[in-house]
Amino acid sequence: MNNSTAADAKEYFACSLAEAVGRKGYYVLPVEAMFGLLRDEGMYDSENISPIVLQNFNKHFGADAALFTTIEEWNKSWFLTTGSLTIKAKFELVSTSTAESIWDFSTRITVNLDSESKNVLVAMIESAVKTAMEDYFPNCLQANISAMDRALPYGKYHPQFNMDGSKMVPPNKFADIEIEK
Amino acid sequence: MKKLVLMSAVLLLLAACAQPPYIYYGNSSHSYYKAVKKQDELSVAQYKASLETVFKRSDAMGIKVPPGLYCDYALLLLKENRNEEAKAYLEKEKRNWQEANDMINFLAKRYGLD
Repeated sequence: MNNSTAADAKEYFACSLAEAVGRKGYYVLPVEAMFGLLRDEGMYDSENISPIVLQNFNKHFGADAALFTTIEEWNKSWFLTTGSLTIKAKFELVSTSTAESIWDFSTRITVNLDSESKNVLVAMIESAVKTAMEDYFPNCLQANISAMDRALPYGKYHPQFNMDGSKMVPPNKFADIEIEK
Repeated sequence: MKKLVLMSAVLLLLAACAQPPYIYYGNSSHSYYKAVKKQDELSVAQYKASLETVFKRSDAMGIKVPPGLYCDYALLLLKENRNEEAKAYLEKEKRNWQEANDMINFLAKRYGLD
């Protein structure tokens, strides 16, 4: 679900989450196959997914859980020599058999797009261009990998499965992450 | 004796560093995003190539291809009417990941590959 003003944000997330979750040791259903099915059935927007639909994911595809993501903010900002991208997102894993929430987490990720030039004029132009022209996908991918790394336990396929029991989830199930470009 | 212990520690450390990653995605997610966004022949071809790179590198490292990638490659082959090859890649997904069974059987039926 995209509550931000950036129309592109949904695709950035949709195309990066499978890798972020797969890296943690979980089987993730094939992305393009699932998107195709959801589009064909008019369910691409997650507002349309009811508990009965979730049960069908379990029955027909063997999915134990569905990951719902809400993009709350996707803001590019630029002022003089500094630029940044701020992404706020909420993640929730929902059981497909009971529709109950089994895990949730929120993040605020700030990508620093400042120029490194010591010349003020060059720095202004560089940071403005960076902010305007940046391909944000790698930032979004890194942000989602960081988010899952902070809070999602290792899945059964990860070599460190069952070894992270003592790892603490950040307080309030929220992480503030900064990424330097 | 001290030298032996030190050498063993160094060798152990080097062995640990030499472990392949658990999983390798390469540039496949970024290429997928570009293919979804642009929806032109070039970006789809680049996505396909990025998947082939993941398959080769995973094979070379002796690790599994990440979840879903064999299946998504099969869907690209279906668009090229290469149905037998697509079926083979769907089977690879099933062999690689037991959780894929239901989904792959569903897709095989949907696309007449069963």
